[in-house]
Amino acid sequence: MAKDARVKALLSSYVLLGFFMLLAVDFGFRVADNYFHLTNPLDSPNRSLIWYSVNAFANEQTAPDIALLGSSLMMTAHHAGDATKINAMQNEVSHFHSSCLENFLAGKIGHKPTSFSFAIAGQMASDAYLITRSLLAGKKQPKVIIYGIAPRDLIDNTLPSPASTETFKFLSRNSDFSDIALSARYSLNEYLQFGLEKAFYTLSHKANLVAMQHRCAYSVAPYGMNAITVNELTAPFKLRQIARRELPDDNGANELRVGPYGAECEPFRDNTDEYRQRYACIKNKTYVSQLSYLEDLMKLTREKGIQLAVVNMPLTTSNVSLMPKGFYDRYKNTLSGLAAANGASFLDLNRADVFDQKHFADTVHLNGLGGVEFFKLLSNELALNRSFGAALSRTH
Amino acid sequence: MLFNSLTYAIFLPIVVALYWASPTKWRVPILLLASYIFYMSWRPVFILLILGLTIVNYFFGFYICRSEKNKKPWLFAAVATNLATLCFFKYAYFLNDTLTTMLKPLGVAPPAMPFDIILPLGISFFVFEFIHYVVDVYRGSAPIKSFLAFSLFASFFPTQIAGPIKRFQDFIPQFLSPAKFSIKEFDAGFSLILLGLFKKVLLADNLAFFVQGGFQHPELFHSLDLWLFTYAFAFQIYFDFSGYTDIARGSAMLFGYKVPINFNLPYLAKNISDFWHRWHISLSTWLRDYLFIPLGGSRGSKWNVYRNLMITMSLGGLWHGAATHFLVWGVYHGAMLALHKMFKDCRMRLQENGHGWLSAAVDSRVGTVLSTLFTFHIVCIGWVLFRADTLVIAGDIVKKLFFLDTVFSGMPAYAMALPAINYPLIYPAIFLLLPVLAVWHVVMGYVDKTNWVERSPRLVKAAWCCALMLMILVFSPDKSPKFIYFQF
Repeated sequence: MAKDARVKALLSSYVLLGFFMLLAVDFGFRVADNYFHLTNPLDSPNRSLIWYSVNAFANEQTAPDIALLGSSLMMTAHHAGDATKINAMQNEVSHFHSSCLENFLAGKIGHKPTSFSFAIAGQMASDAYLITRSLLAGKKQPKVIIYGIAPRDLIDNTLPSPASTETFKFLSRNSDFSDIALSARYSLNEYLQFGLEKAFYTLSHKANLVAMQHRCAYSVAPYGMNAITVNELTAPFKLRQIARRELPDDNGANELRVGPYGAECEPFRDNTDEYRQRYACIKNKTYVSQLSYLEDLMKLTREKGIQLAVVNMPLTTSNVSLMPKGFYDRYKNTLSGLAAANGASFLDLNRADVFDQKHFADTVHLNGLGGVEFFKLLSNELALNRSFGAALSRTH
Repeated sequence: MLFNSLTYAIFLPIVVALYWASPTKWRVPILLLASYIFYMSWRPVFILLILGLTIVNYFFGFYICRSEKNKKPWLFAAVATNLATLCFFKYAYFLNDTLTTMLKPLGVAPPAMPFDIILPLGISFFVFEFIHYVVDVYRGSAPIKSFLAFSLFASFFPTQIAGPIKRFQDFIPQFLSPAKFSIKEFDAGFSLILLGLFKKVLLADNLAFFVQGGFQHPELFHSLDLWLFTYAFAFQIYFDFSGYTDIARGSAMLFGYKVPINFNLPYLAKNISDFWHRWHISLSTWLRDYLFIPLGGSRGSKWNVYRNLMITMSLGGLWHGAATHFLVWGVYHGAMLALHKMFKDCRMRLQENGHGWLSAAVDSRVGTVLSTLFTFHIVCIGWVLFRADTLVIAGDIVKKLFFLDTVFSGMPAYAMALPAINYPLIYPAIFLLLPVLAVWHVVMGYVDKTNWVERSPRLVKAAWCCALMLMILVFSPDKSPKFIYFQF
């Protein structure tokens, strides 16, 4: 009897009823979305570099011959190098074909290959693996992948977990990463968040719903205000600095531009302190985990028949000297060993005889001059390697 | 552990389940243990501080009660111990910096701080509760006999970090005669938590991103833009703190405890004195009972009253933070309260002399609306002093607010790009949202008065909870800033 009363009291709870309503709404949204496709997988409330890249890649008609992967080191070499080679300003959010690489290779192999760059600032080895697995597949599978890597991409101590990057978050919305769902998350909060996303369809489609809400907000905005879009605006630098701190993975369509190397180029920026911090306490867990993603990437490309070149990116000697003693050599040996064991090629392009300070915009990023030099050197190396030559002359 | 974190979403149900599943005699120890775990989740070492102060104040209470002739020295020792602890952790850097600035012209430099001091969470709140306890025991209240109950009074996790500042006379009896589980109370508590989360993560957090740009770089904006930012901050801080209080009160209700309300629609205040009866009520009543009244309160000459108001509010300002702009914010409110007192006295004198026109005008419907609007703007100017990072920035903003340098359409479109980029829940709807939030105040006044929520059908209440849960799930920003009052 008392038990009945307790059950009756519990059932009289309006909070419980509200929760059941929430489950019903969530289920309704799931069904409606499956039948009527209410959400667009490429929709996003913020425009991250991965969002721009994925959208641009979706619009590509054919698979590229070469896909570029890497962090800002590869990204700046690509944009600044092309800006210098073509002698024209490049927009980082709409410039995906590497003119330098295509043209230098054309001179070496006799035909002009096509390329697409997925090099994105902050890209970790785990992100490179996920891009390859989810995007560079099927009809869009390239013949060659060039992955520009540096120690930072394996040891970034500011990274909470592989699942915390914008690339992981964006790609996991449309791809099934359940096999690495737990290993890519480190903290209790991340596990809980993941569990909630699995349980609630609305939460896993938060980005879509927020994007929809943005459109609604704009449509109800007072007269005149809805005409403004971020693309048409140039926010003052100080405001953009705040915005970048708050949400670094959000860029206006006209905000990231790179000019040709020349008289007006920016002076060398000394970012030694930033890298001193980055290298200060290397998290072994991150390093080991990122190496295993790199190995997965190598295995995946071998399985798919894609030629993979792991390219050690140029760094200034002062930057290398900031690393713990012996780390850099160990890192190179590990990479070359992994590559050899998994059918990939390891190309060490950190060549002090080619790159000196005039090729760098700071202690790690190449400037336009360095970018051109880098792709020249890379093309030479690729052309000399028979397996790359054979892969590039194959038809898709 | 933040109230708006997933960790708390796991912690709270576990503690609630353990609490109600345990025999009655185990409930207070369970709550105490949970409160200490809650406190240690930030920096475990500070448990020693709260434990130490609990033990010291527990014994002070007994000594004050038992010594018939030497009550005052014991009280003095107790208050001094509490204040010294607060000053050490909260004001050491401020005093050192102030001293450095003052001595600089003389060419003397005080020694640098020999170690880093970290401000323990919630110290301002539990120290005030201890002072209230020892002073009330001195004034004749019976001390708390049970050490467990006293420890829980000081560390009760729903109110531990940012209040409301409790009174032991209201709180301890609830331990002694614990409430029985009631689904009605549970529902009320849970919906209060949902409402608090809605205010915090949806309104305050989204407004925070909008406000930030304006207050960090006022030089980029015109006066009307800055008024917009100021209004937005007024609502941000209200929703932030009242949201926190709702979660605290709701969490306490899940255990069958009631903690005092802290807000009563403050922006509907008709004057600045009325505002302080509606804003952070537990602090303002504390300041009244343990600072203003001991200073002499409203007794004595009018100049004494003005002085007491100024001292009380200045110290109240400093309590919020060890920075000059908080002090100036306090002084500003002290001055406004003194001016209001002058006005009130003048009104009374006129009425006594047969000139009731001023009172009639103020009390009329139009007068009420105008005085409410006027008070809101007075408070808003105070918020500029409160929010700006430095006094210089605050000065720049206030100057711009009063020297209208553009018409509204002059708002530079580019300046709005910042809030547009990440959180458009607020932008571009900010122009619609701010009036809605203002109307919210009026509507909530009606809802409270008519007990509308309590009377509405179960289905409506359930739908309200469902809507809140859904909005919290979908629209909360990924990165939620800490509650503003955590820093105090």
